[in-house]
Amino acid sequence: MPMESSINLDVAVVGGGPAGIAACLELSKSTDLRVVLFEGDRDLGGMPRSCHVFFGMRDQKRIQTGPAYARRLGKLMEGIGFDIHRSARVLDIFPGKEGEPHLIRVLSPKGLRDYACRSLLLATGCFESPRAARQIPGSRPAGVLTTGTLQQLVNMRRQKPGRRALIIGSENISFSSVLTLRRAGTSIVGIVEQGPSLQTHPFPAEVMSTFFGFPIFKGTSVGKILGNERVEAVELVRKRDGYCWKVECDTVVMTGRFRPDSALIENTSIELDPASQGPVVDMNLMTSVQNIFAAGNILRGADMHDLCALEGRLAGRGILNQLRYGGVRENQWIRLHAESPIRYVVPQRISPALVRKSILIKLILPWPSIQVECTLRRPVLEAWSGESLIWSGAFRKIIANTRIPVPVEKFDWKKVDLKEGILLKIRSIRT
Amino acid sequence: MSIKAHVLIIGGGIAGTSIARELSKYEVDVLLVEKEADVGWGQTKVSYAIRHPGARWSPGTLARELIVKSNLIFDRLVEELDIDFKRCGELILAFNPDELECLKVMKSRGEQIQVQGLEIIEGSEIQRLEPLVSSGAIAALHMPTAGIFNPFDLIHAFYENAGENGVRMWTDTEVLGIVPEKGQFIVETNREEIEAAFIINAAGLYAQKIAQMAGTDNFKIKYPTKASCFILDRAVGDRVGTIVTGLADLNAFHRFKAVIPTYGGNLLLYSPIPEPSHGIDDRAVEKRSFQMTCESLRSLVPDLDFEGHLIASFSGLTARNDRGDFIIEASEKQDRFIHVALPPPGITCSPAIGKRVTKILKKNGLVLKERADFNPHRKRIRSARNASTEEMVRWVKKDVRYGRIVCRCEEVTEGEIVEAVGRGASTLDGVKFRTRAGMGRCQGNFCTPPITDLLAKEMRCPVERITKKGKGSNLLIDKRYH
Repeated sequence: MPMESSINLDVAVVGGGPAGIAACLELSKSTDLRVVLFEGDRDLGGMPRSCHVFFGMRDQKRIQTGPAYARRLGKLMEGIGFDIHRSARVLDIFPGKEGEPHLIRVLSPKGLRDYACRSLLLATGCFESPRAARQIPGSRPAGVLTTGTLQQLVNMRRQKPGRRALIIGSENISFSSVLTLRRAGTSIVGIVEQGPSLQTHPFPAEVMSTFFGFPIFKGTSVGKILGNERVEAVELVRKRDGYCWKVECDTVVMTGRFRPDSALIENTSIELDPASQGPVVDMNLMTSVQNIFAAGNILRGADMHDLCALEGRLAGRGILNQLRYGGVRENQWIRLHAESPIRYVVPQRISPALVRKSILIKLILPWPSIQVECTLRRPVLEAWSGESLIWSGAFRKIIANTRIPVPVEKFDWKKVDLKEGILLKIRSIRT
Repeated sequence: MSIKAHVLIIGGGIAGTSIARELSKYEVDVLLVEKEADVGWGQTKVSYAIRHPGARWSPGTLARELIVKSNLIFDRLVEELDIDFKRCGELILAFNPDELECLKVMKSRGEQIQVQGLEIIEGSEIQRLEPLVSSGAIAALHMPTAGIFNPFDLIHAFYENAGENGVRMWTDTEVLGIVPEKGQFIVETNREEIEAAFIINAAGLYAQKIAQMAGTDNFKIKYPTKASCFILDRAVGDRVGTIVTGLADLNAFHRFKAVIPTYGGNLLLYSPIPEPSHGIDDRAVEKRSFQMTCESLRSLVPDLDFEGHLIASFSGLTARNDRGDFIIEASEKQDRFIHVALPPPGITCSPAIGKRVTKILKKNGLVLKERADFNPHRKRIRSARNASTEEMVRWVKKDVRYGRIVCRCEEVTEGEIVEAVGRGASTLDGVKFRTRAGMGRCQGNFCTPPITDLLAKEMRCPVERITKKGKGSNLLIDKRYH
C-alpha cells in the first residue's frame, strides 16, 4: 500500500533514455512545471550508451556514436534544470482514480519514497526475449547471450565474451551485433534465420556478409546447443530437407525479438495490447488511464532510438496539452486492431477529428504505424470497419521490422462504424 | 598429507545437506564434499518443490513412512530455518470413472496416515476452487495440506545452518576412489586425500558409481527418463493458485503431470513425457518436450496461454533405482558405509532422512553426543521484493546497497547479492538460486554483466574468472579485448 507521506510533482518521467529525455526537453518549454526524471541506471542515455555508430540522425540532425549521443542527451537534460534521480527504480505505480494524482513508488540509494504526480510518462523501453521464449533446445552452458548483454560486455566494459560466435536472428540488431563482435575480435561463424527471408533490408546485410566473410543460413533453425560448461557447438537444421549439421563455436548470440518492458503496467488499470505487449495509447500517446502517457520502445519493442526520441517529444507535447486544455474526450477515440501477419499497430486509438485537424493545420502527431512479422512482397494493406472496406493500398514490398505509416487521412470516415473500430489486414499476393 | 574426518558425506544435494544439518547437532567431526561449485545442482535442481501430504504412496513403502515423519516436523523446520512455505493445496483431477477409482484409493491411503481435510469434490465445485480447471474433469481430490516451497531455499538453509554449526563443506571436490583400510576409508579426491571412519553415500545420480568404488554395489541407479520443467512468466502466475495435477499412470500414483504455482510467483509446468537420455551428464532440453508438455497439460487447464509466457526451461535426470523405493541403509559388506538413494520426492522427505541416517550410524558404532551449543536457527537473505515498506526504508538507511536494484525483473538489490556471496555463492547460478537475480522474464539480459562485476569485486578475483556454474563455464574469454 502507498505510504502516508508522498512528494508532489506535476510530471514524473520514468526512464532516462532517448524518449524520456526528449519528453523532458519538450516539457522544459513550460516554465511552471515541477518535473522529475527517474532513471534506473547510474547514467542517463538508455540503450544508446552501449551501442556504436549512426546515432542521432533524425532527432539531433547529426551523426554520432551511440555513447556520444547518450552523453549529449544527458548534457541537454542536465542543462534544463529538472530534478534527475539516478539509480532510482520505480517499483510500483498506483494510478489515481477520477483525476486524482497518480502515485509511484521509487527505490533508490536515497531511500524508498512515494511521489504523487498529476501526469506520468512511462518510457521504460524494451528487452529481448530470453532463450526459452525462443524455444532454443539443447543444454544450458555459459556463452549463450542476448545482444543487450553482449553490447554491455563489449561496448561498455570492453570485455571479450568469446572467440567464435553464431548469431541467431536477422533483424537490424543482428547485424549491429556483428559490428560489436568484430570490435571485440570475435569471429562470426554465421547468422541463422528461421524464415525464408531476412528480417531486415537485405542489401546492407549481404554487403556485411561479404565484407566480414560469414554465411547467412536462411530457412534454418537451431536443432540443439551442445556443450555442458561452455558452448562447444550448435546443431543446425535446414527446414527444406531436414539436413542437419554442426557448427563449432563458443558463443551464441540471440538477437532481436524485443518486447516492451511493461512490468509496471501489469496488474494496474492501464490497458495492455496483447499484440504489441505494451500499453494501448491514443494519438496523444495517452494510455487508457487519464494523464498516464507512454512513449518509446515500451509501446512496441525495439525501434530506432531517434524515432523514440521524436515520439518522446510528442508525448511531452501531449502532456502539456493535457495539463493545459484537458485534451480530447474519451468517446471520440476509435480502436485500431491488426491481424496477422501484421504484428501490431501503434497508436491503437485514433480520433477522426484529430486526423482532420492535423491535415488542416499541419499538426504533427504520433501517426498510426504498423510492423509486419516477415518481409512481404506485393502485399495489399486493407482497412475494414465491420463489413465495409474503408481503404486499401498496394505496396511493392514491406520489409519486416520497419515502421510503415498507415495513411488514416485517406480512410473513408463516413463508412466507419465507431463501435466496431477498424481492423487492418494484409492480403498478400506472394510472400 | 591427508585430512581426517569422522563422517564423510559424499554429495551436497538435499540428502547430503539435510544429513549434515542433522549431524551438526552432535559433537562429531563431519565433512561434506560436493563435486559441483555449489550445493543442490544435481537432482535437487529439477525438483518441482511440492510438499506432498503422502496420499499418493502405497502402504509399506519407505517413501510413505518418511513423508509422514517429515510432515510432522516440517512446520518446526520452516520456522527454525526461516524458509518460505505456502500451504496452497492440491487438486488431483479425474477425467473418467477409472481415474475416479484411483482418487478414492488415494483418499483412503491418505486417511490411513491422518492427512487432514481430504475431500473428493465434483462438478462445478472444482471450478469454484480453481476457475481455470478444465470442465472435462468429473471429480477431483482436494488435499488442502499440500504446499509449495522453494527447493533451493531449503537446501541453502540446511547448508548454511550446518556450516554455522561446525560442519566442514567442500565444493568443487570430486571423489575419485575409495579404499577400505583398517576400519576406515581412504578417500581419494581431486584435492587432498580424506581419511574417514564413516561414509554416507548421498551422491544422487552418481550413487552407484560411488558404491562401486567402495566395492559395495547392492543396488542399481537407472536414469531412463529426463524430467523437463518449464517456467511461465509472473504475468500468468496468479491464474492458478492451487497445485493442479493429473494422473499419468493409473498403476503408479506418484507419477503425475502438474501445473504448479511456485513461490516466486511463476507457474511451473511438468509432465512425465518419455525422453531419451544420452548418458548421465545429459541436461539438454529436447526440441519437442515443450510442445508435448503443453499438449499433455492442456487437458488440465485448457485456457492458459502456455506458449506466450514461457520464460525458462530446464531438464535433469532423476535417479530412480531398481528397487523403486527409497534406499537408506548400511551396505551389506561394510556397515560403516551408508547408502542414501532418494528418487523423487526426496525433497519432501528430507527432514526425516537425517534422523534415519543418524539412527543407522548410532547402531553401527558411531558415538553421538548432543552438542550444547547447537543453534537451530538460520535467517534468510532479506529480499526487497518481499519486504514491507518500513523494513525497506530502514534497510536503505542502514546500507545504501539495498537501494540499488540490480535485477530489475525480480527487484533484487545489490545488498542481497553481496549477502548471497557472503553465504557461499561463488558463481552466477549460485547468486541466482539464492536471490532470484536473473530468474525473471528477461533471464539475465540486463543483470548478467553487473552481477559478474559484483562477484569479481566481492571475491577479489579478476572478472574473467567468474563462471556461470563452476569450472569451465567462464562467461568471458578475456578481461580486455585490446
